[in-house]
Amino acid sequence: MIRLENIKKSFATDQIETVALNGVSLEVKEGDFLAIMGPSGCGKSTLLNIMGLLDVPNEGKYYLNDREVSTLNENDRTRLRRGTIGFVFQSFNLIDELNVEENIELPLTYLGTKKDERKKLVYDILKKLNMGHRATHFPQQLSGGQQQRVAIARAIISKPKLILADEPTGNLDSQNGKEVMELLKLLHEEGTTIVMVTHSQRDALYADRIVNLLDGQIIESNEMI
Amino acid sequence: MEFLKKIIKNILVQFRRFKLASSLNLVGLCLAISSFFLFVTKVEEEVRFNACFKDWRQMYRIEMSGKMLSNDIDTTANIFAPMRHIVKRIPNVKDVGIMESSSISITLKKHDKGSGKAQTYKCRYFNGYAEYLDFFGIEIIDSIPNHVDGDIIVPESFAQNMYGTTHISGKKVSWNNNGFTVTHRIAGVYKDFPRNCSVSNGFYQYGMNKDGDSYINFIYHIYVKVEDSKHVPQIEKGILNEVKNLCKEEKLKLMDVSTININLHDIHDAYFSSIDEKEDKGNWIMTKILFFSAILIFILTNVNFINLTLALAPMRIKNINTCRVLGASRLSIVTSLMAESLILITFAFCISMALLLCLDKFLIGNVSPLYHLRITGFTFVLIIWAALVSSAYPAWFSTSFAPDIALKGTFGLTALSRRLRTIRISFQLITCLVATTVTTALLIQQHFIFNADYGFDTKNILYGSIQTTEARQHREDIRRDIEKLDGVESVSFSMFDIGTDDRYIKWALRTGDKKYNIFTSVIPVDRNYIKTLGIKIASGRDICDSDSGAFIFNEAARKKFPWLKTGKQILPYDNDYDTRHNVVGFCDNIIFTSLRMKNDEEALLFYIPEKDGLYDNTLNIINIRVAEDKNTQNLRDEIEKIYNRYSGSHRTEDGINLRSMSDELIGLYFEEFSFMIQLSIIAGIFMFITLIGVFCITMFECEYRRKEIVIRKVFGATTTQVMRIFLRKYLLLTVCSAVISLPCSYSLIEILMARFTLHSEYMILAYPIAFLLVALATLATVTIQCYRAAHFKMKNS
Repeated sequence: MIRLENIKKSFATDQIETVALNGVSLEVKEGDFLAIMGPSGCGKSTLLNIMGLLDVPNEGKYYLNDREVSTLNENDRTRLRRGTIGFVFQSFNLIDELNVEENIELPLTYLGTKKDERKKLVYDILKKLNMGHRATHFPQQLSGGQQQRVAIARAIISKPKLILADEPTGNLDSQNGKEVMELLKLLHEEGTTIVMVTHSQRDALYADRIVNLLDGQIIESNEMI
Repeated sequence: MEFLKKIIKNILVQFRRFKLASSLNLVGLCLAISSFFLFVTKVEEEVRFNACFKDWRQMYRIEMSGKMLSNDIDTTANIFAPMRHIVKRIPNVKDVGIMESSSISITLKKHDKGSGKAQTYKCRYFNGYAEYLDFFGIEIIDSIPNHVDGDIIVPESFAQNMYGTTHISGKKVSWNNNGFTVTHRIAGVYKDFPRNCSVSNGFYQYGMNKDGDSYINFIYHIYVKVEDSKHVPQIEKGILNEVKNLCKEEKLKLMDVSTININLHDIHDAYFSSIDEKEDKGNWIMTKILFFSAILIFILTNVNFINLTLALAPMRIKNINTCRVLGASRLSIVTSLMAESLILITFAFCISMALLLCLDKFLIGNVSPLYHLRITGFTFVLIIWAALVSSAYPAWFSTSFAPDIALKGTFGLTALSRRLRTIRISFQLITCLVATTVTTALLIQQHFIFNADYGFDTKNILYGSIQTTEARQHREDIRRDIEKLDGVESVSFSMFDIGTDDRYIKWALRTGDKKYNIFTSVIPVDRNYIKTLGIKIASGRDICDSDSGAFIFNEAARKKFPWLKTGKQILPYDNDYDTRHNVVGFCDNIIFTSLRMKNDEEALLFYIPEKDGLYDNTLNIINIRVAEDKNTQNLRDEIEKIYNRYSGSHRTEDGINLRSMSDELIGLYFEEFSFMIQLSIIAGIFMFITLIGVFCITMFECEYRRKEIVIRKVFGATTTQVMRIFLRKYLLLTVCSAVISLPCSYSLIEILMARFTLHSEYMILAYPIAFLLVALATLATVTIQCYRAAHFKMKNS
């Protein structure tokens, strides 16, 4: 599903050039659950941003579903992202002005799904996540775990084949963290490809494969048995 | 000092960080302060008109009203010269002043031997009554001991400009007057009067001129200074009795004595009365508009300043709250933020004042801040107060969150603050819409003035002036030669250039059987006139070569005087010469006076004078009909050459002075067009300030909603979809503001258009055009800002 070939990415300020990724090559097959680990500043998030088409590499090639996407312009990347990739963030990133229902249906509005169908899909997913009673609540009225569940609901509402999760349990207590990971596991079992950045060894154990990064390079890739 | 350094450093850092927004804010502030200063200066100049005279509250201008053989009562400030003696005799009159109302414009030239450059000085020449200037408190700064009649006094500005000194008494000056050189001795130099008073800084001649004892020439302004304002009714009554006696003695003729009235108009209010076209140029509407514009600019600037400071708050909030975490007190941060605003606004004030000092040389009137120290001080105090008020809220907002919350980026406006923000931007949009709508309406009217159907050809006629006696004697030769030119279709002569004045001479006539009276406007013309101007004959016939002393009336005259028929004989009212004129035809109604006057009901007579008769010599305007697309410079040059050939050696510098109807209209509506230009500038300033406001508010909103924008983009929103969210909101705001602004715009347009009797039928378009302009400008500003926000690197957010 994802093939990265010799990806390089650096950030230049006036005087310093920081290399974030230095020749990363990686393949993620459909249905994989990949965990990316490494110390702060090793390039995990940059790698995830490139995979999610939020950023472009300086060098190297990125194939998504066998299509070279590293050279696409922003509008094309946006169109490709719609319905293909779902995102889950450490800080949930729910829109404060929208209620739970509106936050979840956001990707569907950009896919042009009709209102009735949107309502039905949102209702179904809220029921699945036991959040039906919170549909009209605003993010600030929810606990952290509930907010992350809403964020996951938003990520999967358009049934993407790939979910990118950036430290999804980073802002949660252990109980809520566990519930979120179980939810991701369930999605994986249903056939969704998941790439997750994490610091947590415990969360990484949910993955099929763990990739370790250091100074922008993959130093280790272990299959889980 | 340390504190000040820190503040200045902060300002510079902000400038470097937010170059565009900060520069726009500074430009907006400078523009607003300069405009405010200029408007207040102008308002003060108008409001204090004539207030420079000592005892100005006791000074009055005499006005006479009454019927002059018409059914209309006319009021005039133009009085006969002997009135000064009459007034002096009335009890409680302290002093009397007299000034010629129709002075001559003169140009003096001086060649500098060193540089070889010619220096010119233009002013007005008043033929007599220099001694009466004491009435206005004239201050003579240089003089000769004994002046004689015919000597003149000149203003200090003339002496300084032309001689470099004020000690020029005794010297002689000469100028060209209608082809003749006129020389006068300078008897004294007086200190210039301010611009905002009735006394023009011209040349005033000593001694009584030929009109000094004439009761016929109503061309003088007579001023009185009274002991006390309460005596005014008595003085008016006293003058009236004297005037009635003059009528009884038959010194004053042609006036219906029962309708005569005398009014003493205080010299300040008279300026705004429009009774005298040349002098009463005060315009209360414009003065009020300027005053309110100054207030609005001040408010808009405040609003803008709040908007920008607030817009920068989200970007500075982390730094501010980090300082708080590190121990800075809230008060110290608020003080420091407010001090930043104070310094910035003071800086903008200094730039504005410097700008005005530079502009002083180029603008009419003195706009130097050093000259208007009172207004400069007032502006400074006002803007400092404004800076304090408008920086207080953003400073409070930036420090109103718990530092930990602010550092996490969780902050925003409360519902009330959001409503206030909407009110602020709506206020700006409404102001901008009203100014733009009114300006558009005036521009539509301006277009109408140039393109209306006047009932005669306005596009292909050139007007010229036959100025010398020689040229007048060769009128027929000039006509013959000009008609030979390629592109010239017809040439005619008339006493006036039609459609270029508010009123023309009026005649009292009566029918041959002396049964009916006629009072009508008259334009003496030659036999070619009707054809040259393209005026349509409604009934009867056009003038033929054999006609002498013929009359052609317009349709309004026929309606007003139903007994007027073709072939009817008409006599002058007083019938001194027993000259009978035949009515040969009637022409369509034309717009023969300005659009300020009612033309459709006004009787008009085209009088074709007898050859070599009294009026034949007054046909000094040449009307040249040129073929379409032939109004070229070459043709004008050829006409000029022909004129010069016949005009003799005394011709004036401007020669035949060829001009088109457009040139005439520009002169005729000079006041209105100046008003339109001023209003356009005000509308432009409002729009610019409003757009800066919109820019700052969208900047704040984009910054505040950046997270939302990015989340939407991550989940598939395109740049266009993100921009649509903002554009929809601002379009709705503009639509609502347009609706709210409608009554105000409508009322203002009604007030301003009351000046014109005819209006463009497209006036209604002013509303949609103004809306489109403001909406487009607003949406363009929002688009630029949103586009920048929507293209912000998502990974950073």
